[in-house]
Amino acid sequence: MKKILIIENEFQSMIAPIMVLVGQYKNLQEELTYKVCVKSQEVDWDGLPTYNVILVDLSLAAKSEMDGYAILNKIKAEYPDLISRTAVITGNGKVEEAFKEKGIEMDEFKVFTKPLKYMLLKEFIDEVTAEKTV
Amino acid sequence: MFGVVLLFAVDLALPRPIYVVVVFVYVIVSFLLLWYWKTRRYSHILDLCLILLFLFGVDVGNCFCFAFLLFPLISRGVYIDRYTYDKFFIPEYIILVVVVDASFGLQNILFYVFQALVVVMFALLYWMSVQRMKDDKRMAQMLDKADDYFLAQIKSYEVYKKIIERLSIEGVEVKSITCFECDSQIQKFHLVNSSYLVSTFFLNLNTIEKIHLQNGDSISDVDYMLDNVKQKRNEVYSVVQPSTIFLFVVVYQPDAAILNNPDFEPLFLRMSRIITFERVMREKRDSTIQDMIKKSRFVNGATNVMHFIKNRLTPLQTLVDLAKNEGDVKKLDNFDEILEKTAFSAQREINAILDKAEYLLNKQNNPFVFIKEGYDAHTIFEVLSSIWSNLLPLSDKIVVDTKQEVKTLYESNIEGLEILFSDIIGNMNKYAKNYLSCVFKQNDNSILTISFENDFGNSKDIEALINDVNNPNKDAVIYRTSYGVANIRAISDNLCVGLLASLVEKDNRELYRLELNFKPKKDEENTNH
Repeated sequence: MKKILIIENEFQSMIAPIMVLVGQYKNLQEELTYKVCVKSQEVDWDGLPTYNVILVDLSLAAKSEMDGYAILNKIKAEYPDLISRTAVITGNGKVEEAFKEKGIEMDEFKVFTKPLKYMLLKEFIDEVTAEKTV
Repeated sequence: MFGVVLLFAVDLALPRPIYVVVVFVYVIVSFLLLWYWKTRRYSHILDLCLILLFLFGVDVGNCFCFAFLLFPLISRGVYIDRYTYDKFFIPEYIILVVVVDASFGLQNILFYVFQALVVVMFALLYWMSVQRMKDDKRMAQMLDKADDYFLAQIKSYEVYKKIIERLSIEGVEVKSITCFECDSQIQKFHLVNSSYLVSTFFLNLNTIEKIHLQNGDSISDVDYMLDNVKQKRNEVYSVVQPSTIFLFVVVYQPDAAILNNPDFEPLFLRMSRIITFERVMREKRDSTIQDMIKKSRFVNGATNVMHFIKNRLTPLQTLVDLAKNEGDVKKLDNFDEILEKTAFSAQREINAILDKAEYLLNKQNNPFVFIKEGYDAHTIFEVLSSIWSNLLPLSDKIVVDTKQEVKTLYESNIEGLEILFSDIIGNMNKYAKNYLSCVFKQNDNSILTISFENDFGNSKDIEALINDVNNPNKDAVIYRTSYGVANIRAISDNLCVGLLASLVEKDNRELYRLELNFKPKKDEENTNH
């Protein structure tokens, strides 16, 4: 079973590719489950290592205590093993400057720019879960 | 040079070569004083010594000698500098005259009288010119204080404080200076600015006083109150301009002498020009800010909509990928269901994009990001008052209720406040029927509250407006197109100013009230503006 955590305040806009991914894995006799957190407060930090993939949107709800950058920095600081399993999803095509300001290197996290392509997400999930298996 | 003339014109007491040597030494010492030591402080002593040596034992009744004796008085301007101009060297000079006279022996008494008269006359003329110079210097310094408005970039009301400080050095103890503007008939006053944060004022002028002021004359001891306290010992100076009259009310300290200070007329003329200039500049700046707001809204709106669209395109991208059979998805058991749900999702996002586009086409919305600094209540009031009087020149003045002794700083930004106040007051002016008011109040807990109230025509609109202002969800507000709520909300959020809208009842009518709450700045070590 593959578990993915999606930290995103506008999940409705990415429900379609996730739905396709669920169908694709189902066809492969695999189960893909996902959990959506709109705010950083909703994240179960202790349970974070149980996810195969973590997708983090950079701009979260106004009521979220942490934005996407802060979440990435927390992962870097407290869960370094999860860095390779974490990907950024953003509508901003030029995140380099924002990353620099927040102390994040561009090559540290995989970045998916919106609109998302489900095949790219699938490749990432396969790659990460394969690494984990190895 | 004159001494050299004397060498040939008059029989001197000592052999001539001695005088030649003395003149030579005098020239060298003078040169050293002026060029090497760069001082004029002792040059008059040197000159007096030279005159004493030449005239010692000589009859000063001789016209050449008498002229030489008067020379320091005639050429007193040479000695004027910052050390000597205000006291001159009368004692030293009198000693010189007495010694020179005594060295020759007794003369006719009339000669001494004549000599004394000439010396006194020249000394008097000198004293008068020194007084004139001092007056000119003081006036120049006072006008310099006014010019600090331009050079030191201070606010116009701060100029008064500097003038009061300068007057205090002269021994003129002024309590406050307040400027009012009125119509040519001096019927209605409007407070322009003051050295003091004025809450309420009362200025009662009788017909004769008004006539004097209309003629540009100054008057004193008028019936004048500030914050319900009678202000005795006052003077009112008027500056008459084609369409308006500026009245500058000077209140002296209780024990200070009231004087019709000649410095005040040119000073207040300068101040009236500064106020007029400030107004013209403000109008220009307002217009520039409005242009910038439009451009900023356009650019930010465009940026935001691009992000928004990119975010919403994912279902459409999925739809395209499904159609292209990316990942061989057509083989999926539930392909039709996925396709249907994706199409539904895509349609929803298309609708959202269209709504956003419509909103953006109707109204661009996004303020600047303002850098916040600490400002005291007086500064915030000046910004508010200026916009209030510019946009609502005929309305009642702002009611002020502040604590003068509390110097609390509020985190804000002047440009942001100007836009915020302009938006709010502009909207009030647009939607009010007859009633507009503003209260500027510092509460006991130091929170600064500015309350705007106005009556209205359409109560349904007002209810929606109140909901929008008070709605904690930002996104719910951006779709509104009236009252500039989104912009007001965005700026107030950016400036950390609390907004609260409500309906209140006053004098049997319902009013819309918008409250701005400024919290005191926690770190008060920032600059006090």
